[in-house]
Amino acid sequence: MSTSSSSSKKIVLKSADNETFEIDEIVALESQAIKNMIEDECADNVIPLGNIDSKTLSKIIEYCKKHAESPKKDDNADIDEKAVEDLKSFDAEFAKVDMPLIQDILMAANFLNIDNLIGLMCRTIADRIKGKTPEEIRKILNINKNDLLSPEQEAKAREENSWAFD
Amino acid sequence: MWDNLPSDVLANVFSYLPPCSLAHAVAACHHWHDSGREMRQNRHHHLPWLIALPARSTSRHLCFRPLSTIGGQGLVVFKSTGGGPIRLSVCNPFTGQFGHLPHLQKPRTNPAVGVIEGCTNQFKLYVARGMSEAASGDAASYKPTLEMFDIKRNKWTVMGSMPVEFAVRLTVWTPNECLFKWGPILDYLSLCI
Repeated sequence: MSTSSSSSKKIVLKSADNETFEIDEIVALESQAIKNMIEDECADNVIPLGNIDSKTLSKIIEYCKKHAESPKKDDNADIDEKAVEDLKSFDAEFAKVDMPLIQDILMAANFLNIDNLIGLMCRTIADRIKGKTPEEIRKILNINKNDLLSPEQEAKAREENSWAFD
Repeated sequence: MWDNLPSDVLANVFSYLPPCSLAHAVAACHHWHDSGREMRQNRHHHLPWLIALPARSTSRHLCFRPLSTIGGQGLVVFKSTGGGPIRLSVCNPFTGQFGHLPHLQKPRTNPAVGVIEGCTNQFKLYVARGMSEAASGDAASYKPTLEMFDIKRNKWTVMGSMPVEFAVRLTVWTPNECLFKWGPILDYLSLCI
């Protein structure tokens, strides 16, 4: 990718805090939403992403770059095992961030329609709350007091799933 | 901050959780609780199924003719054949259970039958128009009433009557004596009554 970057088409993304990121078109195409914009020719020189801050956007670009460079699974059958392992360990490292950033990345990936990244973030959230009690889950997610169930609702939720709370 | 995750994304998160952790997760906060409940309600209760039945022309020997399916419940509604007032029955082809529904309040032949499925294990059957049995010497007449069978109450209730010309029109619309899922038509009928 990097060898051809001087000649390949560039896309500029602009974050909510007005930082601009120039990336190769092939990297931007990891996002189905941007792909559609480019195909429909509604992408100008700069694509403004008013709901994504620069910290989140740079993480997303890091992810898209890596995935755009890696050979796709369906390209050929005898794909290099090492490349698959390499991508797996990249994903594992990539997900080692705090919960607020995971949520920001998930919301942005959902907006940009990047399927693999949505799946990775959802799996990460699930892994972190797996086997935890509701109290621990609230702490992990940092749930606002106003969003808690009332004692009656919680009693009912426990009763409906009493098998899980014994 | 977790309360603005779209429910399809949340469903994706939940899909990675084992049942026990899912039960804990939906007790964590309002939004997750409500989304979890919504997903449970929308879940299909049966695997897709296909039922093959004899074509109409070859089914004369059957005492009951399949009329409609109640897909969510995996049931098939049958009607009696061989003349006389209609009798409806429900069969579960997977378990072989078969049961007759009670007699209609107003006996009739050849009515239109419709099904409306409710939530789990609930359904309603509607029977509209049809002919009364001809008394000796008299011609048969149209039955203008609409009756509803509610599985919850296990009985037929007369909902009201529809204008005669509408009852006649319904005859023309439903030459095969059955209507499958008739939401809009029933809305229209309830306006007429």
